Amino acid sequence: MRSQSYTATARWFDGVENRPQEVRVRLSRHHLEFMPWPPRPQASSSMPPSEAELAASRPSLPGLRRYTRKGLSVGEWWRGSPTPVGLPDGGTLWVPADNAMGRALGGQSLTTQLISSWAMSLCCLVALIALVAWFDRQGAGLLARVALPLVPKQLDIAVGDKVEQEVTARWLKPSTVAPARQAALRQRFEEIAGRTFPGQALKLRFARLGNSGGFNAFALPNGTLFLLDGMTQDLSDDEVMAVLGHEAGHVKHRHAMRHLVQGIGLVAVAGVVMGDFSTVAASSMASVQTLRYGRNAEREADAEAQRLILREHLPNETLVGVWLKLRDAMRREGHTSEGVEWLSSHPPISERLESARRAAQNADPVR
Amino acid sequence: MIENKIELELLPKAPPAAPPAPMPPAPRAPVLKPAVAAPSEQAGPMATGLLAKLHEQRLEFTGTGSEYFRIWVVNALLTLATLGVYSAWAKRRKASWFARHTLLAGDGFDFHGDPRRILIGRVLALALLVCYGHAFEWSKGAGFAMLAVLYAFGPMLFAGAQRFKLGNTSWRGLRFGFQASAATVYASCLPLLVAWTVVSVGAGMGLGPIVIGIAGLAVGLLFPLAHGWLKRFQHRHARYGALEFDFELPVRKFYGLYLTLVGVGLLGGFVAGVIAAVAIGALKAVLGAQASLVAMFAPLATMGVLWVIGWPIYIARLQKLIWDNTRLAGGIEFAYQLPAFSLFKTVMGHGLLTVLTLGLYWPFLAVRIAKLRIEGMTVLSDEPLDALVVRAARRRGPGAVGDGVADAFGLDIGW
Repeated sequence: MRSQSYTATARWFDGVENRPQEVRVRLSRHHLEFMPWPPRPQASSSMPPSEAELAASRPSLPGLRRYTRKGLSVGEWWRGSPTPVGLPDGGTLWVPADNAMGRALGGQSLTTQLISSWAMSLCCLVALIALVAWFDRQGAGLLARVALPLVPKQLDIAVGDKVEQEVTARWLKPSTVAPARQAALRQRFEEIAGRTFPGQALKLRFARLGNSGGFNAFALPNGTLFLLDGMTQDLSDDEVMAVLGHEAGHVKHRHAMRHLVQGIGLVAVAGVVMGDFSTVAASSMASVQTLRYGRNAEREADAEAQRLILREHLPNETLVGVWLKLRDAMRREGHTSEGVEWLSSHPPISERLESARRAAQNADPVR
Repeated sequence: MIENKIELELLPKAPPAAPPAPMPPAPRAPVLKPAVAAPSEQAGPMATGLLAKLHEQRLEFTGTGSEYFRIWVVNALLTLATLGVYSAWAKRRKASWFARHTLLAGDGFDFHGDPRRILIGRVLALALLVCYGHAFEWSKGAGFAMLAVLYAFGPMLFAGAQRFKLGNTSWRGLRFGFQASAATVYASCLPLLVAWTVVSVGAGMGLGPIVIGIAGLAVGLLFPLAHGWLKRFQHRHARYGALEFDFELPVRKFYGLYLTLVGVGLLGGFVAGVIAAVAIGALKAVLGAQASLVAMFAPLATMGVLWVIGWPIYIARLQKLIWDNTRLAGGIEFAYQLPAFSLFKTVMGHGLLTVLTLGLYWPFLAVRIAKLRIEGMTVLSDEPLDALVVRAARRRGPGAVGDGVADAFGLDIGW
């Protein structure tokens, strides 16, 4: 293909002045050469120089310039638009749109060929969508699995300590649960944790949030588990242990850090695909996905709670009781419906109830 | 978003091939044809708006959405597949595609930026932003050290990015350029940088909310001025070939622009709020409890509506404000005419399509917006542009030491 030679009439700018000049260009295998066209007065011929003429009379043709192709910096070839050819002396040659020479010079790279064809571009689109979908399903998890071990545990602890300070100072009030019950719960949990979560430095703290005390519990990456009074008062001791098993599951699987790593990956991917359009769109897509990962993490933590129930021979239905009480608490606070799943940080309560019931039935009655 | 803004603003800016330098005594530009410049323009710069220029040349944009779509897909795929490294090459392709499809007097612009420098610039900018974003979380000392770095290098980086953008944009074989003394760079960029950082610095130092509030208010009041300074900085020190641009800063008009925006924001916010309240009331009746979820979106929707209304007005007025006050030696002026309403219609209609197609329509929308914005600009001159011969700034030779030093900062930091 390269051995073919092309001729064209092009616009030339010398890079010194912005005045355009018409030139006749010839592109051969290794060289590009051109001369003013129509020729300046000295030139006698009124016909464009033939290749033979150009080749033969090179030194004598006035204004002839010759460059090796290697020295040229050629812009990409796009259909319908002239191709700029940067010359080593600072000049520029614009090869007219849709001239074969432009394509021969600037259209040979893989990307320009992809861009110039709709079929290829659509293949690229499919590949792009597949890549994004893969990243969403597998890639983000893979990234987290690969990257998480690289994140030192000290970071979890440092972040957790910091958050613990903040929450304690700003949001939480001292617990009003009777000290005796606190002590009993703490002691029982420590025994259980030693068996079910060996090697995890877990610490239980009681606190109040708001007037009702707060029907909730949460774990920080440094291993501190917060149990809010509303929940402590409503739940039985067994149920509290199941809830703590769930929260300890978050710590064990380092969900907070995984969340962070996956979140960074997601924002990066969304930024590449959508960022050109809008960072707002990109980050909202990313947050919706992050919520989904969050729901999956909750399911993983629920499984840990179930494991604790089995291992410690708590009643099989313990977790079912927790979800029922949680549902009641939510109703008391005015959440009558489930909301929209993809906008929630937790799985729907009906799903959690269902899977707790199933787990209770499947549990071995003897053990 | 950021990138987009910068680029789109840039494009119309880059094409500045030709407005007039009306000052009779001291034409800043070594124009080839001195005859052009002055005789009739005794009145000086203030009167230029009244003097009718004989020749008008409108910018033209010939890119199509369908081609940009293919470029966008290939760029995104390669960027993702290379974990972001390709983004610099993608940016070059995008910038040259927009430039080469922008025509003035029949000739296209071109963009020559070296992707490797774009890549370095991006890594640098990312590092700076990440460090700055977290420095105060680590410690106060780290925070202030980072701030010092930002103040020391930020303006040079900004000027470097400016030089990179303009110096790599060409029309008719001549490069645009940007050259400003270090003092000017700092004087022009620091106010905005301080404005940008003052609130977080205040928070980092643990100042009370009142002090921070006052600082924020001061920043709000001075912001239009700082923005005007920055624009003046960008336009006064730009050149095309040997012709220099000039910019007369209309401070009052900058304040007028921002006042308009505040007005639009208040009015639009009020109207949108009322509509949202009514709509939520109606929804509550229909959906019951689900409505509280819908209500969560109300502020978001209000912001969206405000943006869709406010952004076109802002862009249209800002560009007009800027270009009406910019001129190029050689008797060249600019007129900028972009009806905010047509921009609004485009953003509305095609924005909706973009959302419905999950973003796939975006490249088409981008091209439409670019076309509107670019074709809003007209270059006015006393003689036909073709007759105005401009020379290159200076022969590039090994002798230009100062240029080389400055070039250390000639990186692209746009996103």
